[in-house]
Formats: sequence, C-alpha cells, structure tokens
Amino acid sequence: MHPNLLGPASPVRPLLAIDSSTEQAGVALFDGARGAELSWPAGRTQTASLLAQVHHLLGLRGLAAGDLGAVAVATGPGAFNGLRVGLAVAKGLVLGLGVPLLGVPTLAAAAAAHADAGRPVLAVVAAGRGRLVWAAYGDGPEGWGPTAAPRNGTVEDLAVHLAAAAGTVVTGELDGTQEATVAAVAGVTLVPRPLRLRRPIAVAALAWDRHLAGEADDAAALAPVYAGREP
Amino acid sequence: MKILALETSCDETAAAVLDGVRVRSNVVASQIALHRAHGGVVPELAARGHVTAVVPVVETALAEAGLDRGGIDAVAVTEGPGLAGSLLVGVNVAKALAYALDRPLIGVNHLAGHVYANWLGLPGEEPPPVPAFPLVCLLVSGGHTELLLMADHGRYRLLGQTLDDAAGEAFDKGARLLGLGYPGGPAIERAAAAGNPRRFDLPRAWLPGQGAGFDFSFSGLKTALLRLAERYRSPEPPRPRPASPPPGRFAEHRPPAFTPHAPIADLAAAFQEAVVEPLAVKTARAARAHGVRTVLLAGGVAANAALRERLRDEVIDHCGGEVPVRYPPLAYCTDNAAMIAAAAHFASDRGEETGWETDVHPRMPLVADG
Ligand SMILES: [Zn+2]
Repeated sequence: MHPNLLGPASPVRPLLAIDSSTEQAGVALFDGARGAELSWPAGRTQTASLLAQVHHLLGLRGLAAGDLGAVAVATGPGAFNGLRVGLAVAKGLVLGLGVPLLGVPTLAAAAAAHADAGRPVLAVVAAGRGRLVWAAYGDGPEGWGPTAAPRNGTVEDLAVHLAAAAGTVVTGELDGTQEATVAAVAGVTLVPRPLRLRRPIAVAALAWDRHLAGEADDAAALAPVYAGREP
Repeated sequence: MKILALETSCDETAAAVLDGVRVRSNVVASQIALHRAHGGVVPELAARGHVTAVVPVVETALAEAGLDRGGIDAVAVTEGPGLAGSLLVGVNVAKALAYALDRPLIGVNHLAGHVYANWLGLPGEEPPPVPAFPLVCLLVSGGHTELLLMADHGRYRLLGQTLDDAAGEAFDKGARLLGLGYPGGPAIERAAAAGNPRRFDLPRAWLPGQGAGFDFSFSGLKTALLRLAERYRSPEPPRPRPASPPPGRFAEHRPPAFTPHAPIADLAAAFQEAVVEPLAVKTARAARAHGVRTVLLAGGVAANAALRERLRDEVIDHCGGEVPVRYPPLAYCTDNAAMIAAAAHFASDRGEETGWETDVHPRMPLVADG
C-alpha cells in the first residue's frame, strides 16, 4: 500500500455515493481528497449487486461501513425501481450508521463531468420504455447549474429540441439508434460513448460540498424524481 | 435474541421488534386510504409509499421497543412473494441496515410469516400456547389461498391452493361488484351481517377430481355474483365523453350504482358463505386425513368472523372436539412485520442466514415442488 500516493488522508470521514438510476449502476467513495469508484452494467439486478459492490469498494479502501461519514444517492430521473433500490440501500445505511443522507439529481451528476466544456451541456438519462429525460446545464447567475427544467420525450423530441440549441454538448445514456439520431443533428457535439456513462464520483462530489456545509436531506422524505413516463 | 423485521411485500410498510417470540413493538403504516380511491392496490403507488414510509416506521418500531439500533441482534425481511417494486424497498433497506450494523440478515417467506403469526401474543401479553405439530394451516389473504401441512418448524407441504383468485381477492372483487368499497373482506362482512345467505344460491367449486381434492377456485363464483348483481344495477347516466382521454395517472375507481331496493346485504351474505364454505370444509377434511393436532388460520381473511366460526364447526364435525382451531390476534392477521420476525426467530434457530447478494422473489414458493 502507498497511503500517500494520492495525497494526505482527509480528516473528514469519507462519503459513500450510490447511483442506480439506470441499468448502469455505480458506487463511489470521496473524502475531499481521495476518490474510489465502481461502475457496472447492473441491468435489473441492482438489488442483488448494489450492496455487494458497496462492500467491495469499502474493501478496496480498507474501510468498514462504520467508517462512513455520510451517504449520497442519485435521486433520478431514471428507472423507477432502480432509483428505489438506491434510495432504499442509502436509507438502510443511514438508519444503521446514524449519518446524514444527501440526494443528488441524476442529471446534475451526468452534466457535472462536462462542466468545463465551455458550452451548454445537455444531460440525458434513460427513463424506461424508450423514453428519455433531459435537462440543459450551463453557467447562470448563480454559477453552474440547470438552465431549464427537465423535459421528457422520445429521442425524436430530443432531436427537435437540440436542433434549436446549436453548440450544445450532449452527454448521458443513449442506445445505438438514439445515438445516431442525436449525432445527425447539426451543431451538436456528442460526448464519446464511454465518457457519456455517468460517474458515481460526480454524485459524491456534488454531495460533498453540501455535506461539508452541514447540509443534509430528510432521510424519511427523500424520494425518487418520478419523471419520464406515466405508470 | 432481538430481531428487527421489515415487511413491504404489498401495500403496508411494517417494522417490528421481537425478543424471542415476545413482541416488543409492531408498527404498520397502512396505505389503505391511498388505494381505496382506486378500488385496489396500484403497485407503482405502493412502491412509492414504501420509500417514504420506511424510515419513520423503522425508527418508531425501535423507539417503541425501547432500543437503539445497536441493540438489534439480527435483521429480518420479507423476500417474497409479493410485488417486486414493493419488496425491493424492504429488502434493500434491511440488507443495508444489517450491513451497517454488522448483524446477520434473515430473509423470510411472507407466507411463512403469516403462519408464524399464530405463535405471537400482543405486545406486553404472554404468547399463546405453542401450536402442536403436525398441523394444517389455511392461509387466506388478498394474494394467497393455500392449505399447508406442517410436520415441524420450517417443514411445509402444500396440500392445496387456489387455481385462480385468492380468497381475499375474491372478496375484493365481490365487494367491487356490489359497490361496497375496499378492502373487500371487511366490507363484505359488514354488509353480510344484515343479510340472508340463503336468498341466493351461488356456486361452490368443490373440484373433486383435482389433486387430493384440496384445491380452491373462486372465479366462477365471481361471475355468478356479477350476473345476479347486474339485475339490480340502475341504468347509468351517460357520461360526457371528454375530447381527449383524461390525464389520469392512476385511474379512479367508480363504484357501480344500484336500484334503491337492491338486496345488497343478501347478495353479500350469500357471496361470503360461498367463499367460506369450501375453505372451512376442505381444511377440516385435510385435518382429518392427516391426523393433525392443531388447525391454524392465517392471513388477512383469517379476520373474517364467518370463516372462523364455520371452520370451528367443520373441525368439530370432522375431527371431534380435541383438535383446537387457532387464529392470530387481529393485528397479526393482516400484513405486519411481527410475523416476519417470528418466522425469522425459528429460521435463525435452524441456522438460516441470508447473503448480501439476495434478490427479491416476487413468486417465491413456500414449498419446493414435489
Ligand atoms: Zn400477506
């Protein structure tokens, strides 16, 4: 082990982030200085795999659950049951550990990885049954953040939206057909496929600042963002 | 050993703490009011309800038990059967809680929980006499109608089951047809109290050629009730047809309208008897055939007084007065977590433990085939 390889250990206990918004699931640890993350195509097996991967990730850092200082979770939009798995694991952990819980919008986490693009970023998340939810992010009066409310529709709806938003960088999950439809829109930059995967460390990073500021969400009331399709 | 159990298989969010088989707390957050407007359980709504109810329910169960989370020795949870989206809330909370506390996780079959409700006394009361094996248990609820033979703890044999609707489902559908509301069992029972069950002749599916003759069927009964009830429906005023379908997310249930003197009480009474009779008679026959020492009733429909009475009469007829008929306190008939903790208590005695990789099992059988 090279404990100093990534800088001195943070005096603050690490935060665990969970993102099971879609079939690509992820977990991350962040302590303000050092990060660790796992991302895997969980399909619909999040219930079976999520906690096992949390355990694996903690093991990579030589930590136990009791070492965690906070838990963050992506709140959607996304697949309803996937979101509920993440919320339920996060709630179980904070119930057992007595640490704060922080919810992070999934689209904010997806967009955050491209905040330095210098251009508007449009983050997309798959919401099941071929539906997509997207939101535009960019610099606003209060700094980087969403510049419009999330919208949901088909990839054709998204293409119409993008045609009027030249110069936009598009990130997030798109399947092969959806990718081709978006790439065909003039003036749009599509982030390369592997880099479009959401990174759980982005969930952790977004929650970290709030955590340090002493903020937390209500562990009882925190619920998924149910956008994207009518049940 | 103190077990904290969670149960979220359908529309109730429940948590309980047991010390041995003594109930320290039993908390149920009911969604009945939410689902009443829809005439039944809407799975997506049920799942949503669990996500926001689960933390306060667990915290209340711990507080009422006078424990903090570190005082828990094991965490139990319903793994199935049930609604997938509902089950996964409880399973993931329980797993993560057990992991965070570094305590064993015990996955429980919901049906086993219902059976073990018979081992429980109310909080602060002595547990009832321990049921003697072998026993038969008639498990009747909104999702299940099973006749089980238990030779010992954890040893189940399926003697019979419903071929179509569950008994509780039959009550729900019958109540819906009669405009009596939801949940159907209590609604039918209330309406039937003032009714004459002999006024209408409704069919019983005895299914003599089926298996050992212990199976059930209620779909024909429902159809027969529909035909009878239709005679008394008042003609519906035509509804203005909206230009586009309403933005209905979860459709509201519109109860049927009946003529002023429709014999709803008699219909309800006849329907209730037609559900109860095959359940009671076949359970008593099974008790005699297998020489059991106890007959148990379990599940939400065990709360039905007509079923309790008829079963007691039939068991006396078939087995004499020596075989007791037992049923859980009302609070443990409907879905609750105390029963899950009770089943976990005996499973834990047998060394059963569940791994982190366990998934939800919406169709989990209680009895392995064969
Ligand atoms: Zn039940």
